[in-house]
Amino acid sequence: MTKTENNILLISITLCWASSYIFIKNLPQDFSSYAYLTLTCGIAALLMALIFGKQLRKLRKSTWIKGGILSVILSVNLLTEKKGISLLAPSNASFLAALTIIIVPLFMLFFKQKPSKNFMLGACIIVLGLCISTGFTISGFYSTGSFYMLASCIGSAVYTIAVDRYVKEEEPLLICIVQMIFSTIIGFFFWYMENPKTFTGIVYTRELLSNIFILAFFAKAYAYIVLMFSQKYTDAVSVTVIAATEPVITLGLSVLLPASYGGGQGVSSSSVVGAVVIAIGAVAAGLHFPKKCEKKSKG
Amino acid sequence: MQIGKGKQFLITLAAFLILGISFKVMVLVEGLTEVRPVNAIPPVAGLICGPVGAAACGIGNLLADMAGTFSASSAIGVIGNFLAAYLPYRLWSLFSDEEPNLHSGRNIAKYCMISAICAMTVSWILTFGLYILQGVWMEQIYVYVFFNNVGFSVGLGMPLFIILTSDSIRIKCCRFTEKNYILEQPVLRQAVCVGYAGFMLLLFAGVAIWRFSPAEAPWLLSVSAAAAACLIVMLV
Repeated sequence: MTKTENNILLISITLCWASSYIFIKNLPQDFSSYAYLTLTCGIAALLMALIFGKQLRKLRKSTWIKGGILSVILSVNLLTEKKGISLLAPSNASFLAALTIIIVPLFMLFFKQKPSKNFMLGACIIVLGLCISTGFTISGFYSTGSFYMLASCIGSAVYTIAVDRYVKEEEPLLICIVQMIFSTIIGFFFWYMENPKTFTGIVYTRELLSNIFILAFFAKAYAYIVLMFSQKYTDAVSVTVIAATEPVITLGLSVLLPASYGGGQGVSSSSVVGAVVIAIGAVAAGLHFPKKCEKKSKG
Repeated sequence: MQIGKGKQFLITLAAFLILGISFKVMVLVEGLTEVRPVNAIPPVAGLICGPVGAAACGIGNLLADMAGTFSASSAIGVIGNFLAAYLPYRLWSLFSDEEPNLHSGRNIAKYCMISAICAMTVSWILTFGLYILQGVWMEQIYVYVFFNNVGFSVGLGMPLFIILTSDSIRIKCCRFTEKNYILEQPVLRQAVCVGYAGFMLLLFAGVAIWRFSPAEAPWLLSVSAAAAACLIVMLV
């Protein structure tokens, strides 16, 4: 797989995750986070098992263990994120979520992997872009919501680094299926503790089923399979850089989608400038110009 | 990886049905169209499975319509979705000797260009088909169908195609190797394709940008007739 192909895959994941908020918003207000985790991961696992059933014969003990670890990190990440989003203003939540771009390289230092200069420059530009897009008017950070959002951010960073290591040792597809199975079990356990009626306690409507199915298909099955595949060919830092372009994609969606589906909103000049700066940061982080400059200056 | 024709048909049909029915709730024009991520499937199915994939897309669309938007216009939808898959299959082999893949920037550009032409074709068939058969003119149908097709073909179809043709899966694509009965020389066929693309662009400008209807601008029907002739020459 070429670098361009890999980048296209990563952008498509960002597109799926950026648009998933529309469907999450369409879920009933009282819909349990655990039910959300159980149903979306469960359907995703079922779909994957149906499509790639033959591959399941290749499952090894190490795949189960690594998939299990990933599912725990993922569940913590998803549940704290959902809680954080519900307690914070959207701009604060998205700003805190985007801080993964700083946390990933910090954690990489534990593995003695120093981020490159171009990445450092790109990350700084991206953070500047995030500040511009929020109009430098972020307030109300001293809340429980921020704690949840930061926990989710750390979970996301740990998850990215763990996936980066594991997919190079295991079959990406299998580890993804195992991760979804364990996430379903974890979700169901908490759901049962919260409401023993679980599946029978939900009022099933066509809208609810459609939204759950869409989230399971795109935000879970598709996105995680693609993530595992692309991380086999790239590093955690590149994944984080492309994920940081989410505000750019969200801006595009808000312009293209009809108002009834979360789009059609007025686009402020600060969000446009912020999106452009973020895109420049992502390009800067993906290039290798500082190395070339160094070579030239040495020559 | 090589998949049998029957399995290719069933997998494409199942994917089309699952995605098609799920998104029936995101209606854009009541009874006619909705937000359709399912439009990511036709170009991929066409490039991988050829006519079998195209047939699955056409039938899949008809079956999905039965879950809420079934009407006489569903017949036009069958033709539109069949062509959305069949046209990429034919166009790719016309402009490239290698098996469909997106390993180079040139091939990515080719995929995007084919997706755009196919999106314009589907919007043209649906909008003008409704006008000719039912006397209904809705320019917003053209715009929605175009953006649905081009957006999802590139945004979702392209990554899907990259995965399926990656080293891990390495699916074998279907290539058109038969003879073209009307235009034997590739140069002539390419010239007809370029002409067809020109007609499609003209129709796109006329309907989506200048907002003309065939009643106001009868030349739209003349261009449509010329485009239809080019399409037949390309496909037969």
